[in-house]
Amino acid sequence: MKLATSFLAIAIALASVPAVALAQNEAGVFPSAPRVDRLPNGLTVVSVPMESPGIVAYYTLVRVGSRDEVEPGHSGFAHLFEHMMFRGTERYPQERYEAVLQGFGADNNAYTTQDFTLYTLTAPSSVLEQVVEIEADRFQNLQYDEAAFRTETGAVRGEYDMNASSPFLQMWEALSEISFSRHTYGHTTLGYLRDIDAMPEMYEYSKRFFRRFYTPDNTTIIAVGDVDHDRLMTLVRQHYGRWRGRRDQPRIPVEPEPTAGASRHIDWPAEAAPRLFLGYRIPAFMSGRRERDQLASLRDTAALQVVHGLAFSEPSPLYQRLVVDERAALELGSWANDHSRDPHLFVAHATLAEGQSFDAILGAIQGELDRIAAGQVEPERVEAVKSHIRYGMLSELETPSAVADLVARTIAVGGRLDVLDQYLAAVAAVTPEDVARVAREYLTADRRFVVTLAQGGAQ
Amino acid sequence: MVMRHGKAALLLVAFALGCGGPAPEPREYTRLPETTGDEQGEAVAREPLRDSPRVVLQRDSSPLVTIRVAFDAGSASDEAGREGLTNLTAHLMAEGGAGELTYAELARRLYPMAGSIDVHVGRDQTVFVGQVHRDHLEDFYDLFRDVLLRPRMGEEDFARIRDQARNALVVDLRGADDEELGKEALHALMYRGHPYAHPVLGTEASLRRVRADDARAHRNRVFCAGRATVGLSGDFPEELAGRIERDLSALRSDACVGRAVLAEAEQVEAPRVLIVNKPSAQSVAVSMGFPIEVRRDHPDYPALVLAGAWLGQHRQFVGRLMQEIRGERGLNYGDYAYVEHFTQEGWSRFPLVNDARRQQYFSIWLRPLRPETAHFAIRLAARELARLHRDGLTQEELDRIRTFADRYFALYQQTSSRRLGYAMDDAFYGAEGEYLERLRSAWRELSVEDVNAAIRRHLSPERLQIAIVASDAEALANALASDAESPITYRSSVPEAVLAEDREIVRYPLGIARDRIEIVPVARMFAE
Repeated sequence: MKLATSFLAIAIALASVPAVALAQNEAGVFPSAPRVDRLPNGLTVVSVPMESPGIVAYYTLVRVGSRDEVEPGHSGFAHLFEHMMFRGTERYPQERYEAVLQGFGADNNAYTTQDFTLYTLTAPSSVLEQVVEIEADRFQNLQYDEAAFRTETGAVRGEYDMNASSPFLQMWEALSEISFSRHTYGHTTLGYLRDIDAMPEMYEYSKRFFRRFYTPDNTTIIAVGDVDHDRLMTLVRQHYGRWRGRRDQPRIPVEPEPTAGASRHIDWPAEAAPRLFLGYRIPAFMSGRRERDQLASLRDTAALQVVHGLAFSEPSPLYQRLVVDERAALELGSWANDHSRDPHLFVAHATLAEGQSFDAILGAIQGELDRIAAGQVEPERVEAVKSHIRYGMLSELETPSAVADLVARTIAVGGRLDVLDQYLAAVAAVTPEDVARVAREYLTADRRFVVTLAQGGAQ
Repeated sequence: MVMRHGKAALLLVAFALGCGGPAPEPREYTRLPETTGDEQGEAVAREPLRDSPRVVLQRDSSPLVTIRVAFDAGSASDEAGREGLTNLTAHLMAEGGAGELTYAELARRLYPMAGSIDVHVGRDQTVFVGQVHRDHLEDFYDLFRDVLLRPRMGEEDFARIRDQARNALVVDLRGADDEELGKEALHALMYRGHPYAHPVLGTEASLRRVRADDARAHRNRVFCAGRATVGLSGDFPEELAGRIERDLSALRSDACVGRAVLAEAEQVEAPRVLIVNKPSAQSVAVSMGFPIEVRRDHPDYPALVLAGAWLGQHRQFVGRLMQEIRGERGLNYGDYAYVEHFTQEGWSRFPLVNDARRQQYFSIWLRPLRPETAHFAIRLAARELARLHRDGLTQEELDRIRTFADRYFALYQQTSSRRLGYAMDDAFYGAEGEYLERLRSAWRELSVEDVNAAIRRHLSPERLQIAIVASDAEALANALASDAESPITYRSSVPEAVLAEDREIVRYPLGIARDRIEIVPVARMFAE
């Protein structure tokens, strides 16, 4: 850990409250060592210089997602608000905002998840100063009228329609519902259709939402590529320094530990191969207040990550049996790298071949997880998965956008960037015993939630 | 945009790994004709084969090494009656084991290095893409080479891959992805009687017909050195380029033939419509367009790129359609225009590389609309195209979009693998100079008159062909043909200027005769 001395010097020169130098990573998986700073108002700033042809990814992470939608009838609101953030300010009304960004040739977009909203702007580094200015203005001074709000809810409805022709949306809605009786992970980020249809009437609520969650202490600026940290900090301090506000802390209901699983079937009205979607309740990416507890929880997360590879990757015995040898499933997979702030799900899915029963495939999946829980895994396979995770991550970090995205996701679920090093160290330390332990503890039938879908009745 | 990991994993029928059956004896096969729209067996004109693979190098410091081997063969090379064969052949090579290894063994070897061997099949190109960290390049290359030179192509693997293709066609495309179905329906409409008409996946009937023997014969005919372009990018050892060129030169076969000369696509003189009747559809998917003669090597290409970006740059707000349909009216999620075939690469907003075509088309994509606004939005889009064709861009509009494009298009080439892909595409088209530099240099010279003249030459709205996926096809067909007003209501107050424009849009004549609207039940799409 080393202090960002150059930043501190500038901070003092500007007579502002000296910023706290946060944990500084060595390069690790990144192209260079990230630098992390925090403004007195709580705004976190991360930079990662990397070779890029005059390009900078300027991402803004807001730690608000559908997890924060605690009020009934407001599912999908974090996502709607992501849309509203493109509606302009007094200084840069929407048309001008877009014209300026277009003049930069910027790739400007955003996405929302359960835990966070990420604004993804990639532009020539030559316009970084203007980018900082216009983004700072948008996050502090967003302004839209009721007509613009109502119009934008139409685009959100359009996004729902876009997804609705696929069985995925309904399956994910159902799995979320049956897995969580209290926690807000029980609804999807897109939200229920009934809530989306009610959005046009919620203009006042939307303005409160902005004040509650779009605050400096809930936001991280991430700049990756052709960027100089000190210059970035000067600009950020100049344009975000006066931003005020404290994040609202809604009480996210705590989900009790499951004592029995549940299942639901969906009749699909169009041609559909039978699909199976299952989730096992697992802990948060990282939990606990003390470092010792946090490291212990990261060990569990790392071991579960290895289970994904052992059980569901293409070379795995289960995949080879179901998809290749028996051709009982057309596809089999799982959501590796899907981490969450709160206890969530280890998700796996399969599409069944004609004539196959859900019970048989479910039984085969549980059988493989039980085998792993019983310690019947060769140590070299554990090593192969660990190597895959490491090289997979290295291969993904080719562009400033990809690096910025990893930084954002890490901070979003872990709260700080150096947790990535701790997590990767935990992956490197995973043993066959760890793998068996987490499978015994978490991947059991009484923690399992199952959704099936088929054309017509259940098989 | 809402993102959730796994959506793609769930929906994509990954032509995933599997183990192979016994390796077949290497055999030579008699030549089979390619489909040309002519009767099977009829002699067709063919392009000459090259003497050896083309080689394109993009050496730089990236630790991620990419090997791209693109063959001038795609679904347009499918034999008549065996549609989908090129796709099956390519996936059987990549996912059926190679050399001494079954596919399970191959997968196990690739896994610890996180190496990947993917294949993409388009209408005119098939590309095998190998990617690995330089730490593992030596071991990886041996596996990649065997996939191309010594694929096992066994019966069991073939049966699995064919099942997956059928599922991707029948269940995923027809049953679960109306947006893609709309795009494929547009191909079926624009390219009637042309080798681009059928999906890369094939048809239900053809997938029942094809056998592993067909795939083995097809490989000998089309995946050979005389059709190959080899590309390397990243921090690879210099000697690798020569090695891969030598290795791939061994891909020779007496059965290897040049591409069949492609017939011109039909140009219509008046709009026509295909509606896929899908009773379960909740919303209406719309794709519209027409074939154009402009490709990347055409002098009007740079001007049309600007026109396309102005009308609807993919996934950006810069486009007129996006501003009008979503921004002003909130009718849907996205509205874009393209001056060449476009497939989005993964979650990015950028086009897939090595998906080049000998013939191109212009298109507009309206992402799903509520049934009650579909007619209105189709009118709005057709009217915008007509206005662009009639009035062209103003100097100010040209300057704005040129400034945008000059910078934005640089983002297309952020990785060495993508820069390599663009260079290989240039080789496909025979275009001189580097893609982005070529565009920028042409853009600097273009006057507003030049751009508008190119628009008038190539984007005539009378040629518009419209493909729709909707639940009540008959009612929509009647409404379109009647040219009756399509009133629109909003849940928000809309500026008077927009309402004034709406009054014109609701009665904008599309001029579509009822006998030029065909309705096809969804179950019949790509059945034969």
